[in-house]
Amino acid sequence: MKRAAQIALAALILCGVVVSSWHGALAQTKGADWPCIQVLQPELSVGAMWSGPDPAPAAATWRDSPAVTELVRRVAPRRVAVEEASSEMHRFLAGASGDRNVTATQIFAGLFESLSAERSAIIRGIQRYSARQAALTERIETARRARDALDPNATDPKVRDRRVELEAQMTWDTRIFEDRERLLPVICEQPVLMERRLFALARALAEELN
Amino acid sequence: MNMIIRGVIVGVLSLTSASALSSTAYVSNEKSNTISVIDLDRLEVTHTIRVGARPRGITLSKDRKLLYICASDAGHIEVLDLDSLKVVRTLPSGPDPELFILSPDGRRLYVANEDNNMVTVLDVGRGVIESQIPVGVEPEGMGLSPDGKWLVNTSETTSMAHFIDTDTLKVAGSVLVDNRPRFAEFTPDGKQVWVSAEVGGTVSVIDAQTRKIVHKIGFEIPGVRKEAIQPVGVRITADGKTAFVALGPANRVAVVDTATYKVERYLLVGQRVWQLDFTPDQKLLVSTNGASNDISVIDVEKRKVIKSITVGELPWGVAIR
Repeated sequence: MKRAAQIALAALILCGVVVSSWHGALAQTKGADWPCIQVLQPELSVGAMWSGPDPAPAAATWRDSPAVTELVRRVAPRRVAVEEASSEMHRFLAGASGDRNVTATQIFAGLFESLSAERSAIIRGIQRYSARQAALTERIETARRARDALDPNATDPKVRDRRVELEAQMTWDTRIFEDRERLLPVICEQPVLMERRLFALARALAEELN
Repeated sequence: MNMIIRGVIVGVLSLTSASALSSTAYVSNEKSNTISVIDLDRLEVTHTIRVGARPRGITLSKDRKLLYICASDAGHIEVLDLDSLKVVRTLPSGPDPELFILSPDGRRLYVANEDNNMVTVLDVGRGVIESQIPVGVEPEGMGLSPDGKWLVNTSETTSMAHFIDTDTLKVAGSVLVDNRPRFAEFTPDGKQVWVSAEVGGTVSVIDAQTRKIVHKIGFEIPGVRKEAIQPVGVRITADGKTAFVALGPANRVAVVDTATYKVERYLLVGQRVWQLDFTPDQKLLVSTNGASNDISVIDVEKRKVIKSITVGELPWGVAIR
């Protein structure tokens, strides 16, 4: 499978999983299975992204500014390239009235909240993905045990049909399992990419600080 | 005519003086298998050189004409000629060389072999392994006393700093430090060794004579979760007054007063800051930021990040001439 197609499929799978995770397991238990080689960082640290003014007050007020809220809504999504998002923020701050440091900090607070929420949802999605894989492994094993319990020399057509049915199920399940495993490296990269995006946008905002 | 000649002479002289002052940084990119060459005057990458698989630790020869490279997955050391920018020699290293240090006379490389719990002693001139010293599990950090007499190796899993006598090539003593020690750096007077512990989140300051920990430096950054503070690379200024400590996924470099052990400042650099090095004049410090694929250039006196420069994937080691 081509890498672009893999990414697209991974995004689709994650989308489905993420949406269901919003409604379902909003808070996966700590220590839940984590299938990625990347170390699980459940939450991002504000201080590892930002060394400007204290963003705590801005975290409570950024939504009060319709202009800031609209800017965050436009530049936060991953479909907007970092360069494009950075240029838009620079333009916004160049034309903004009031204290530039305050406004830049409000934008950072908005981006941190939005991207952190999306990243957390992706992490929950990956955990659900991992749980589904575990369930599939169990299903394959159960089918294997059932098949092995059948008498290989049986002449009863019902037994033969059951054998064929179990082997077909195992073949399909194994194929689905392996396809999903192949996508795992791309899926596991998503939280890292989110963190990288947030850091790059925070750095662009920091350039605007006095 | 005279004016033209004078102009040419002034131009040539100014170019000469600029190049005499300019520094060049070499950065190993662990994932892209390259070395980035960065002009620190222009603050831009000038060359990218393909080298052996998974380059990590790098160091300059004493005459600063060669760059030694730990090609970890290739299982050897490569020697890059810095004039031609070509790999001119390959040296044996033992398996999985991660980090190494050159003896003050430039004759030996002491190599940490992460996979087989050994420190390999390499005769650089002859290109042969002189000895292999058993140490703790997953050796990594390598510090050398200014007189070259004592080598300190840290072992990540054993959580120890091993003091190796470079005359006998035997471990003379070990000091237990905090979890996952990554780097060892002697103070310029040779009296102390600073050992960073990635998981422990501390730097242990060890008296080199008594081999006792005299102080443990902890780090607290507002808005950063404790477990994200993972000390790795350590560098101390030539006057011995200030230490810089790279704090991994905290994305910060701590500036520490060596007299009081107080952290004066936490500089925000790039993501997963790993190793550090000074320019020869000590005016600049460069950090490698593994996750944001860039380096940060820090003004040492002003304690300020002046620029971040994109390099290859997973920048790891840095050496500057």
